[in-house]
Amino acid sequence: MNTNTDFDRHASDWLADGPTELADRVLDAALREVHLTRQRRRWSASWRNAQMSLRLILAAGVTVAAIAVIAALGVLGGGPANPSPTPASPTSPPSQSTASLPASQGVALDPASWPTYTSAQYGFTIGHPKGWAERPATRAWSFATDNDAGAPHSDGADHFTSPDMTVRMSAWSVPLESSADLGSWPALETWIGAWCTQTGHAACSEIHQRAVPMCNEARDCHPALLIAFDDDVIAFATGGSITGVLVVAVWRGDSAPQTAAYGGSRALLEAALSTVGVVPATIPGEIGDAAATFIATGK
Amino acid sequence: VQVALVERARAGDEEAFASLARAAGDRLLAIAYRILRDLGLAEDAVQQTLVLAWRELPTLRDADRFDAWLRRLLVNACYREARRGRQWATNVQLLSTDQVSPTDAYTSVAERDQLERGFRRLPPEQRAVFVFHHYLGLTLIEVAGELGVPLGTVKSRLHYATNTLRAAIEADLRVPTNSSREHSA
Repeated sequence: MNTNTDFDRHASDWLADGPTELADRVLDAALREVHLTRQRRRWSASWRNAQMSLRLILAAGVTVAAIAVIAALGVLGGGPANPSPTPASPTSPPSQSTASLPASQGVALDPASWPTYTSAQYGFTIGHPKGWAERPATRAWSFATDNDAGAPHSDGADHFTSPDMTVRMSAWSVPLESSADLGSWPALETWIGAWCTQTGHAACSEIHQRAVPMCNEARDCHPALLIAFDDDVIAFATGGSITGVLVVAVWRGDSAPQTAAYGGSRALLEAALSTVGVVPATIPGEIGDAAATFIATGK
Repeated sequence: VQVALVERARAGDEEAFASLARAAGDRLLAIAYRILRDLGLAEDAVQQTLVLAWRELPTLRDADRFDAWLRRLLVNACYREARRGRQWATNVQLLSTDQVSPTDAYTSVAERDQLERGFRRLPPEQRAVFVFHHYLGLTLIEVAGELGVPLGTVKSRLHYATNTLRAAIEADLRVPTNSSREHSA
């Protein structure tokens, strides 16, 4: 390292070592992701700018109007020398549907402010964090065509992808036979076991240990279960206004760093579920007791 | 040919984009690995870059600038990967002594290891400048254009990166070996 030239040459030599070929699996995964991703429209950037300009103009107009009103009041009335304190505006207590859910860091989970999406394929309406891309299902989900560990890339599911492309949430409905009775958590758990095996999911052996009882429509508490698998967190809800079994999945394990900003995959999924009326079965009384029994005994 | 593919991909042709991705994939991985020094992180960065490129492609004004635009997306993806909280030093390579040329001081195992360790201490912005200049062979003005930062910033980052790497190697050279201690005793 006696000269700059030596250093440059040796730095270049050192950098030349290392991999230079992209593995096919990485390229394939990227292209699968591309297939699920909508392109930004050409006009969206200019439209954003136009919206920004409009907002600035409106803000400036409001400011000018406010100054004019204040000035007029001062001229006409002289204004109180010691204005009385402004009474606090009444605030309504937060309802369950508008309460913010805690996030350990990063993005605050406030599902009440999320945009909602109505599935043209299935009819349900679900919320997702702001800025996430939506990709609608183009066909119905079925066991015959969607046996790839559920539906992380299925055209039979509605998909929602985070702005940085690292987190995906999917929702879809699985049809039920008319004779199926999923009116209890154990019955739904049994059905989930069969779904898990049939779709080739990686971890079907510890469903009960992983299951969190939830209620679809809190008052009637139709059974729903959230299962935190190792690589994804999936909820299943049935009854009430839901046709078949509504499945909502976050395709990351609960402790994945990609969902840490949302408080983890489970917190993200619970926030999304709250927008379809599915809430944890922690209601005191009969429902809470039944949930505790289910957790303890599986019955 | 590439411009035509870019135009088709920009209009939503996935096959055209797949062709572009296949052509660019190796180059992107090579750059990402050299910035991140971790194959897993580099692969994640490339995957993110390709998906983001597809989504944002309609906003690319000049199809001729596709490669440079892609590299800028890649560098930003590398920054994100570097800051995602994973340990950078999890994938330390064992250097093969078979590759060492005894006549070349810098290619000795110890010195290459010092370069590696020194490089891992650099922030990702300095790594990117160093790689664009020394690996891609771009001039500093070209690096500034590709990364979208002022020329003075590029010079500063390269200066600090070079000093850090030099210091790492020189510190290693100052460590007394057993034989030198024996001579001095």
